[in-house]
Order: sequence, then structure tokens, then C-alpha cells
Amino acid sequence: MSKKLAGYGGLGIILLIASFLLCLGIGAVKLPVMDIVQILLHRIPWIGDAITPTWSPAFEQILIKVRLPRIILGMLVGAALAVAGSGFQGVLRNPLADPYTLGVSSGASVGAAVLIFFGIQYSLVGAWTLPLVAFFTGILTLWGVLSLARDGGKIPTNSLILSGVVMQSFLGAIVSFLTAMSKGTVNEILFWTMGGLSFRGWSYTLMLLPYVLIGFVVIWSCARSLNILALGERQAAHMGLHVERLKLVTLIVSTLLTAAAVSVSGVIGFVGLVTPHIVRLIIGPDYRLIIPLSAIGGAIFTMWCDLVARSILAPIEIPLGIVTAFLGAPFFAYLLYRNKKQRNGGKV
Amino acid sequence: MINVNNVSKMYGEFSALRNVSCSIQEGEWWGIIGPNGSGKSTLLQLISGVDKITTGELKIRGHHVSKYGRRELSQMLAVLQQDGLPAISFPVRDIIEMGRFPFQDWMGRDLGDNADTIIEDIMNKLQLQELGDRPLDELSGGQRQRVALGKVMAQEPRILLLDEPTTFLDIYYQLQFMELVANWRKETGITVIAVLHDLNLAAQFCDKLLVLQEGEVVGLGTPDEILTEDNIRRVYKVDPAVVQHPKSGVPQVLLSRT
Repeated sequence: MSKKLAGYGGLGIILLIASFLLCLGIGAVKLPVMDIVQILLHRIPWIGDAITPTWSPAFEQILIKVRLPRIILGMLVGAALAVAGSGFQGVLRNPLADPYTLGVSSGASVGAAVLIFFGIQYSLVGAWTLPLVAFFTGILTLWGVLSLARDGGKIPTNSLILSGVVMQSFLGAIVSFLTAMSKGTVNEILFWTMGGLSFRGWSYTLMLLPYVLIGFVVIWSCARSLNILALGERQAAHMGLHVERLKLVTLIVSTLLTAAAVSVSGVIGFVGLVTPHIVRLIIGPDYRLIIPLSAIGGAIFTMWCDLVARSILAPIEIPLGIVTAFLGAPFFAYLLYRNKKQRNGGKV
Repeated sequence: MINVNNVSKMYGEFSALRNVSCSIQEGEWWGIIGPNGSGKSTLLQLISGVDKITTGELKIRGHHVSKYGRRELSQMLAVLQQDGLPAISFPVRDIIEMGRFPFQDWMGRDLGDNADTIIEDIMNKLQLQELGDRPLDELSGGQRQRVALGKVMAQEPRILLLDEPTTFLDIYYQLQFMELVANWRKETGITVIAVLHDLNLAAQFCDKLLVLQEGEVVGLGTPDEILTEDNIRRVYKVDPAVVQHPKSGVPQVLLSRT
């Protein structure tokens, strides 16, 4: 297990760093990779002193003030959504669960939209207000979706997806209504429904960081228990697992991760679905591997999607949520198709 | 070892078990038999501590079963259900290792220091070596049930609860499964409590039989005492012929057409 983690984890981190440098370089102004590495190293205490600046100050400004915060934020958002997705999938034992399909993202966005509509996003507890309220509306949504979907103690895939869709359309309507009613803040609410990373700056990145770190550690520490849960709830209980406690912790922390991501970047769908799936296809069903590798994978996936979003039609920027949906929705359809095929014993 | 004293279990208004009492000694193999819906699995779930008893008392090693923590209980008692393991794609070795879960700390380290030897021994004993890296969902039903047995063996329990473990197996695997459990019991002296549908297997493997009918105990004794034509007619509403097994002499039940 640990050998596999070191191998694939190492590979993932190399990919992550390569993508990171590439995405930093590509944009309206092309930055050479060597300059990027030097500028970044220069910022690190001790090592930095050994490097003499040979780059133009404009490059440094673009890198540090514009691209770096955006790309790091993208990585954090992607990692948060992917870890939340693997948490939901593990605890619901359902490969189609994800913050977006479960409606949790939409739920969180309603909370955010209401706050912005009334202009009170900094009341209560300052900058923490938005993520907190988003968390509460997100968890309420999750509760609603799960109780709609539950059928005699079990949660069948089909009814889970249906309940997610129902919830999403309803909540989407609320957000659209608020968008239609508001005047000055139209763009800001609209932004939440489509998702994006532009103009966020370092303050958002720093706000998200603790959520992602803590959430990741908690979910990863549940990995072994999630493996046991894959045997079925009753059997897991027979093996000494506190099933209800595990479900509660995983659902709450996954929702918190989702809400934190949504409150800085709006609704970005399918990251939490696509990433754990691809990871699972490569390394198998062990959550001890799926969770850390999904975090890396989610970061890479989001980074690339954001690169597409900001550069493919430059200077026009496509909202990030639209890019991930373009990629994710067909993938979701493919998974449904494969699921059906498996159930029918190979026939469609 | 296990003392069941006047235990009743209600699910809402429905009374699943009424005033069940029995006393199971260490190292015995008990069979629980009875028609469908007579409360056999319910009794097993109560002993396993996952379901709570409504009235009465149930003690394991002198302590109320509800007083044990989940983890503490699972270090002493393992359960194998009739559907065994779901079709998951974990490799066989990983699943057997999951049996060590009650003995692992939060980092996944085993509190015993010979976990690897335990797992290798089990793989050898159950002839699973060659299947070690195969995903479970590619195995046949019989192989899968052997993996399920390996997983509970890794749990190193003192009490093994079996819930119709041979239901989905052909006769070869049925017998193989029961022999594996019998060998395990011979080597470690564990106590086995098995819900069984097959009366003939029950007669050959169990020391004691407990007969349940509509949630009540209607018979308790050795297979010779319990498996009589009268008893079976009364409990199962069928017309049997009971003969002696030509090799071992234990009672065997033949069914007659009406």
C-alpha cells in the first residue's frame, strides 16, 4: 500500500508541479518557465538570496499578483471538491455521488447568493460569514436530498440522482430569482452560479487553505474505515466500526469542504466526480490511496480547466464551471451508461 | 461463555423473539434451526451486539453485551453473513487484512506484532495464495465465501456467528466450508453459533441444536434428541422420514411427498 502511494503519489506530484509551472507561464503574457522558477525561488527565504534578479519587474508583478494566487486558488478548490467527492462516494457507497450531483454545491450557493443579495456577506463573523452560511445551507440541502432519496434504509443510485436534480433545479431557481431581482450585484451573484477564479486574489486563497488542509486530513484519516464500510454497513458494524459516527463525520466534513470551495469560487461541477473516478480506474478501490491521489488529481484537473477557461477564447473568459461541465457531464453520462451495462450483465 | 436469559425483541409492534433462554459453553458448536421468519437471524444479531435487546439479559463472558464497546466486542466475536462479501474490487489479500481492523490503531498499525504471519497462515490454510492479488468480484461464489471466512479468521475471535453461511453454495463448497470451520474450531477451540437451513449439515457438525418457531424456543438438545420425525413435523409442517447416517450414525432427514 505505502509503496503504491509513494509511487503514484510521486508521479502525481511531478505532474502537479509540471502543470503548475506550465499554467503559470501560459496567458496573455507568456512567461518563460525558467523565469518563473527563478522568481518563485527568489521568494523563498535563504535560497532566494543566492539568485540575482534577471527578469523584468513586470513579469514578477503578473506572476505574483495575478497568476499565482489564481492558480493556487484553483488547486485548492479542485483538491477540496475532489476530496469531498471521494468522501461522499465512500460514505454513500455510490460512485455517482459528488458535491454537484448531490446538490450540495447549489445549496451552498443559495446561502452565498442570499448574503450577497442583501449585501451582508461580511456581517456576523467577517470574512468567515460566507463559508459558514454556505456550509449551513449546503448541509440542509444534503439532508433534504438524502431523505428524499432514502428508501428503506438504503440509498439507490437512481433515486439519489433524481433527488439531486430536483434539489438543484429548485435551488438554481432561487439563485436565478435573486439574480433577476438584484441590480448592482447582478454580476457577483451570476458569478456564483457559473463558477470562476478570476479577481480573487490572495485573501481568498488564504481563507480557503485551512479548510482544505483540515478537511483533507480528516477525510484521509477516515480512509481505512471507508474501506471497511465498502463491505456493507452491517458487516462494518460487526467489525467494530462506528458506522453512524463515520457517516456523520465524513458527510459533515465533505460538505464543509464543498461550502468553503463554493464560497470562494462559485459552483464548479463534476470535479468531485471525475477525479476520484479516474483515480479509482488506475489504482483500484482503496480509499487510503483514492483520497490523497484525488486531492492531487483534482488540483491538476481544475488547473487545466481554468487554463482553458481563461486562454482558449482570450481575452474573453469562459466561466470555469462551464468548462468543467463541458468535460464532466459527458463523463457522467458515460458512467451511467457503464453502470447500466454492468447491471444488465454486459448488455445495454 | 454466552448466557441468554429471557430475551425478547420487539420491532415496533412486531415481536420477533419471546423469552428466549439458553446457555452456551466455551468451545461448543450450536446450530439454530427453524422455519423462515422464526427469529433465527434476529437472535444472532442480538448476540452480535449490533441490535439491542428489548427485555431480558444477554451476557458474554459474564458481562452484558451492551456494556462492551463496538471495538472490544469485535476483538472477541466475529460474524459471517449469508451473502458473505459484496462484489467489490478489492484484492483478496486486502480483504483478509481488513479482518485485522479491530486490532489496528488510527494510523492503521496492528497492535499485535505478527499480523503478517497471521494473514499468510490463513491464506495457506484456505488455499487462497494463488488468488491473493485477484479482485474479489472476479471470484466464484464458493471462493468468495472462503475469502469471507478468511477475513473473520484474521479477526481471531473467540466466538464465531454464522448466518446461513452455505445458502448460496453448491454441495462441494457447502461441505468444504463446514469442514474449514470444523478444523478451525479443533485448532483454536472457538465457540461457533450457526443459523442453518440444512438440517443434515446441522446434524453432522453441531453439538447442540436450538429450535425456534415464531420467536419462541420449542426445542433444545443434541441432534439425536431434536431431529425426530415428530419434532420436524410439528415445527416445519412437513412429513419427513428420519434415518441414521450409514457412516456416522447421526440422524438425517429425508423429505416425503404429500
